Amino acid sequence: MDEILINEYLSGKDESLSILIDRYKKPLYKLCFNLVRNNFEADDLFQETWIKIIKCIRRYKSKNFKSFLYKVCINTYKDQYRKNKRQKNLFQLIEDELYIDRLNQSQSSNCESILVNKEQCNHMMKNLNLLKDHYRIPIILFYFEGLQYSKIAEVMDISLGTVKSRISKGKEKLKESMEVSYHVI
Amino acid sequence: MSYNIEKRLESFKEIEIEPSAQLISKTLQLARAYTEQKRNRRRINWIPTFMTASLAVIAVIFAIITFVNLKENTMVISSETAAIYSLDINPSIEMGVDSNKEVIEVKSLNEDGKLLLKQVNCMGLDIKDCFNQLINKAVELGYISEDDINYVMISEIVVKSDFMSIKEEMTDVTKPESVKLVFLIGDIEDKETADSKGISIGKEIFQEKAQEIGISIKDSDLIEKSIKEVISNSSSSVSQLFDKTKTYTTPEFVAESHEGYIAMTWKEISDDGFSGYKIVISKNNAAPEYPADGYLVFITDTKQTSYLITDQVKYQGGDFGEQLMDNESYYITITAVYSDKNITGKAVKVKYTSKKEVVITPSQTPSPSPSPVVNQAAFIHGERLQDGTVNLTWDKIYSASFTGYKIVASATNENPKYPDDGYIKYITDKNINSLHIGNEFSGVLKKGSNYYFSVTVLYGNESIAGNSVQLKYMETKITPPPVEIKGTTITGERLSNGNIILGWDKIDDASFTGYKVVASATNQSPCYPEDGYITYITDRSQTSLLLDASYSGKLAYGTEYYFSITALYGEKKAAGNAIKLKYMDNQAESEFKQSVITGQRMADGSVLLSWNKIDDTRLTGYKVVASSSNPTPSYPEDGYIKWITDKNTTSLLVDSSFASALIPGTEYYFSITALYNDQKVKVPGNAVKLKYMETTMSSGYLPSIITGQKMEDGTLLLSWDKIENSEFSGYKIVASATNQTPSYPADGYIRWITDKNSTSLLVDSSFASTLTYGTEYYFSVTVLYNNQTVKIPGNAVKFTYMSTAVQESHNSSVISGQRLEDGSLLLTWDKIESNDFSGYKVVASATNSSPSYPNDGYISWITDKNSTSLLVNSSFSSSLVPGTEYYFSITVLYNNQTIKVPGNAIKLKYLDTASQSELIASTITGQRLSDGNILLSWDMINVEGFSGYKVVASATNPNPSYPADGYIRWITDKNVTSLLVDGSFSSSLTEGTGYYFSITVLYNSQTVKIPGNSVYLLFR
Repeated sequence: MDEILINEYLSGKDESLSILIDRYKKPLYKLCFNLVRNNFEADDLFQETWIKIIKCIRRYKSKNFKSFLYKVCINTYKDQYRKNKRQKNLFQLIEDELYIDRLNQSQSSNCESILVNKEQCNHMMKNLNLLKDHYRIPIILFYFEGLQYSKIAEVMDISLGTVKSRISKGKEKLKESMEVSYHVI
Repeated sequence: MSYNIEKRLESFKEIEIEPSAQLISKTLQLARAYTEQKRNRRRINWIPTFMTASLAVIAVIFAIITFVNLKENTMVISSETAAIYSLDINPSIEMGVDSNKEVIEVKSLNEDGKLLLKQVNCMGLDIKDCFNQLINKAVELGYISEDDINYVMISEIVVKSDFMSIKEEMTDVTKPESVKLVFLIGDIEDKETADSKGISIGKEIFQEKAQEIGISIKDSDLIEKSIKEVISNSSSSVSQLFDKTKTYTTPEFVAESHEGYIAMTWKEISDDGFSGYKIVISKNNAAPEYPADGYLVFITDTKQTSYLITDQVKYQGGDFGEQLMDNESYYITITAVYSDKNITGKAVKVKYTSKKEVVITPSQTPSPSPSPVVNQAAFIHGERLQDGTVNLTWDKIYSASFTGYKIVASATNENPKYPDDGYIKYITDKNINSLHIGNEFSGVLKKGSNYYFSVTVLYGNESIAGNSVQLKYMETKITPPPVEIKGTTITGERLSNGNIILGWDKIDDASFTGYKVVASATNQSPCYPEDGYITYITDRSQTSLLLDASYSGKLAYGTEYYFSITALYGEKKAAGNAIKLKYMDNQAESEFKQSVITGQRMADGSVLLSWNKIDDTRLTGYKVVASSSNPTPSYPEDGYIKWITDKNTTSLLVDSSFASALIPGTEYYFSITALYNDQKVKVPGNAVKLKYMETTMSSGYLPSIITGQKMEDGTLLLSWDKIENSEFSGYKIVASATNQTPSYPADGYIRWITDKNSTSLLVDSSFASTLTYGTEYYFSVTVLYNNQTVKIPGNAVKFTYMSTAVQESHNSSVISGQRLEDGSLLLTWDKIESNDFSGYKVVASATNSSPSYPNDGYISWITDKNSTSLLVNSSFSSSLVPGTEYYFSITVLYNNQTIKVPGNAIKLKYLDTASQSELIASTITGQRLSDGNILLSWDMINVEGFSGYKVVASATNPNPSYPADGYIRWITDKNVTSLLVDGSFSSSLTEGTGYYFSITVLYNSQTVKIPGNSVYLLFR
């Protein structure tokens, strides 16, 4: 389906691009938000990703558009947004809280029981954001976006073994930092 | 406190986050604007000079202000840097390249690196050429010994996401056989870490990779030691990283539809094990591939990079019969056939139109789209920009045989050309037809000097130079006085049509470099760079700007913005006040009017079209559209036959001059699409149906009869009839080894003659780069008329090109061979002493008793003239089938590989089929120790050809094997027959999970894989 839409778009049918954008608006926006963690930057990243897709769509040759889309999104994030990642401002703290609120309001029955309270969630998000992108992005793709290891390897251009290793090490580091910072608190 | 991280992370999967409707709408708007911009760029051959000037200045200034100095010994990343590379031998060097893969920044990271860079000027070189030169120089300087194993490490970090990795092009990098090369890919964080440690990015990635296989390498070792020393001091498994990994390239191509054929061109694939291209076509499958969808042709000459699809070749195994049908669309792909798998690229949908009869037309106006197949020169023009840099633009080439533009510069030669005058830039993308020559060329051009610039267009082995322009390159800059910076005051108003006019105070300061016009929907005091900018103006005297619909890609209709000006003074900037204004209206587009067309058929069959004049300042022009099938045709969907930019022109006579676009005797629907706002808005109108002309056939376009004569010296003299026709355009002399009635353009051409009185051609040794010695060819002449729009092929004559008698200076090499005890073959051949020797291609064919390169490919390419033997052992089993008899032969290449002389062939059996059956599996046993660790043991393999053991683990597959299930350890020492699977494996295996463990034994340079039994054990 995606390939047909892309071919139609390349042969001049702009509506096909609209359909494509609509098809992936939710997963792509979720990824954007999880990467930058504030609405303004997520909006920018979402737009910038589509502009880049348009610029390089003629070179699209894989058979999985979603992976291609995610790959462009992550590269765009790395190009433009990562440098600001650690400059966590007031905006972002507020956004994180909003995010946690959404989590607590979601339908997941085990959500509230696992994430005992908002503070703990906040605590976890803060520590996750402090991880190096090496570890943070595979964790986001695996746990937040539900991508399989092999897809993460494809999206990040790394081997399957590296994906497993980074997720495993990332979790260890996250656990360590949460325990340390909890005691410090 | 203990955390169950996994469960907590899992719970985040539940969250749904949606983008706002406003964001989607804005994204769609932006997407449409970019799409339009992109399509316009593809349609227009040139960019107005003022625009290129502005863009160039923006680029230069942006580059200057965004340069960031990190550390003294680290390389800076500029805004132009598209990727970073490092080379480590012992010299360590880092380089930055721009989007054209040309080196724009280089830095040595150690003393040896400095020494090497003194010998090689990398700036401006293509990155692969740069690696070639650096490696060759490293050999000369003794950093690489040709007698011992050496390691060269190249790493890549892509900075700009649309940059294509050179990983698949690494086979182009030449190196001595003793060198093991590894290509590593990292990301920008590796650069940051590497800089902080003071090592190259390659060493940083290498350390990380080694860590992943459980080997720790000290930072101090990486700083002080060469790569070779680091590997020698580490476990042998580190050197596995340097084992050559097999690459598979996905074929990419472009296809253009022309009358009578579809022209395909693609990028050459030169991977090991690659045997050819299958052209695959399907009517219904949008992603056809071989073998499921059959194929049209199998091209085994891996150097061939183009093909013309006609209805003359029968299709095999497809879904549409044997031939392409007129006016039908097809999906086309290329499947790259490798010895062990097929790789299919992306499909392109193309409409096929069959060849139409030639029609007599008096004089025709040039076709709206350029002729795609005529090899021609590119006309260059250029200008010197305010900052002294030079901007060149040239005609775009559409020919299917185009291979590249060489941009040439000479201070002395008024008509410089490639290769005589070298080149400063090589561009292989036919769509790139401009070049900005800024500071990055200061290594090859002298500042303040005048140069003649020209473009030589390459078509395969042919090169055609164009005109030249003389321009001064840069001036030595004078130190500017101290900068006094001040902002400027903006004013503005909204016009009745929704456009906005902005005005501001002029800045006269000498250090002033430009105005950035900034707009923000949310920030009340927007400034550059925080809020971006909508346009950049470098002309200080321009103090106003009209924001009309052409800004709809940057601003949203009906939205209020805060506008301000940020004045730039070199790297300093000053923001001014802001004003709030609403940009356009949501309804603005509905006001665009359509034009009503009427038409009548004239006595001579031509059609007179008339339409309403549109009196609107936003009108850009009228596109006259014609379609034989669509009753409501419009631009761009149905193309156009005429583009009229004078709004007062409201009629068009569609006469015989349109015969190249329309078919006489056919009924067409004609319509006008009115274009507004720089072609951004298109309003189609009604259509009228009229018959265009009558079918009449020309008798004035005659073919030319060719004859030929073999001369004593082996050359061939071709002669043909002179054409006396005022519409004569030229003779294309055509040669084909296979087509008995060759013609242009289907079979290309060997010479293009535009003088009608020139009716003979001596085909001598100067054609050796196009024709092969000793081969029979059919020669013919295709006469071109009427501005090359009419092509009339003639008869053909058959002759052998040059006899072997004239090849005295280009000898063949006699091959002999013997089969050794282990089944491998030792081939030996005569040494060639010629000065223009290029190399030996060792060729093998199971079917052709006289195999030669390029027809039968090759199994080895040897450029050392003293190397006159080859051991064809098990390492060739990816190219040759054990137990099969082959004809082996040597084709000697001369004169930069343009002359190919095949020699005799010998028949020998390659290995034994029996030898494969001797390759045995290894039996594994295992036990779980008291501490939860697992001890695996297996049988030792003591067989010739052993490459290693892959220890495999799978939680689900009871019979796991490599490569299907990956591996947890790779052991190349045959005496190591046990492995302790302990906590160090927890990154690959999950604790508390049961696994099936197995050994896959690899033989014959890892080409043969024999899996064994499995044991099931709980891990920890």
